[in-house]
Amino acid sequence: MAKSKTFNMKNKDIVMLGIILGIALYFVGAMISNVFQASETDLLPYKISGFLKLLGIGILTASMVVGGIIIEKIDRNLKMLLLILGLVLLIIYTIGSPWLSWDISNFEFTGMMGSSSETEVAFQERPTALGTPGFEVLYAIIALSLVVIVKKIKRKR
Amino acid sequence: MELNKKNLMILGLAGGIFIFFLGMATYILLGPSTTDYQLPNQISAIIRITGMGIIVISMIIGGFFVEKLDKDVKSLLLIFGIVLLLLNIFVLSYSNYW
Repeated sequence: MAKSKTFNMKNKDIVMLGIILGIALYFVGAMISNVFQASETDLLPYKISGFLKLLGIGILTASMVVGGIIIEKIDRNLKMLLLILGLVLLIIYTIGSPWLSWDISNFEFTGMMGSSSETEVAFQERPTALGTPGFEVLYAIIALSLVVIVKKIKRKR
Repeated sequence: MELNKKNLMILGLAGGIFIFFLGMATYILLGPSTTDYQLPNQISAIIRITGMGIIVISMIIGGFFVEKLDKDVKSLLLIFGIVLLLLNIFVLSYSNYW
């Protein structure tokens, strides 16, 4: 008689699932904004896409940080790299988060010919859900240098 | 799953990061905020800042008081926890978003 297969989820599998789900959600969100184009009158595709993208990055970051602490039977350097990169991703998004604000209080909507309506301004001012393009480059370079420095220090020991 | 300090800290970290990103995503889902309609900003700020608080607490407590953790992991948690706390106090608190 064939043994019934049991599916035991270990810590490593849960973290792996989190990373897969996070990256997948991010790309699904990116696809939505391209397949269903947002316009001045319909901002829903953009909102759903931005929500999914940020949720995906959140799950990915949480999985990386938790994975860097609890995963066993993995190379110690890899484990440390996972933790450091997860923490750096968290810092990048913490610093970049003010660029995600979508406040159009400072704009005047006169309603005259040629002036912008509220929805037009909302459409033009929508954040990319990734902050101002390019803001992450500087922090990515800092993160990579940090990882290299940590590795060099460990090698010297 | 046993409910000890280490597991609580890990739960706090994972939950906090998820709540923080959920708060950022809520702003986009409910937005935009205008002068008369500040609800997206208010709801997002409550969720986001709660998440950040949980993250910082978990990291600093994890770095100081949790045993059964690798020495390097503890140092990293403590350093990044303090950096995140100082960032929140001295940089992000001056932004209208925070």
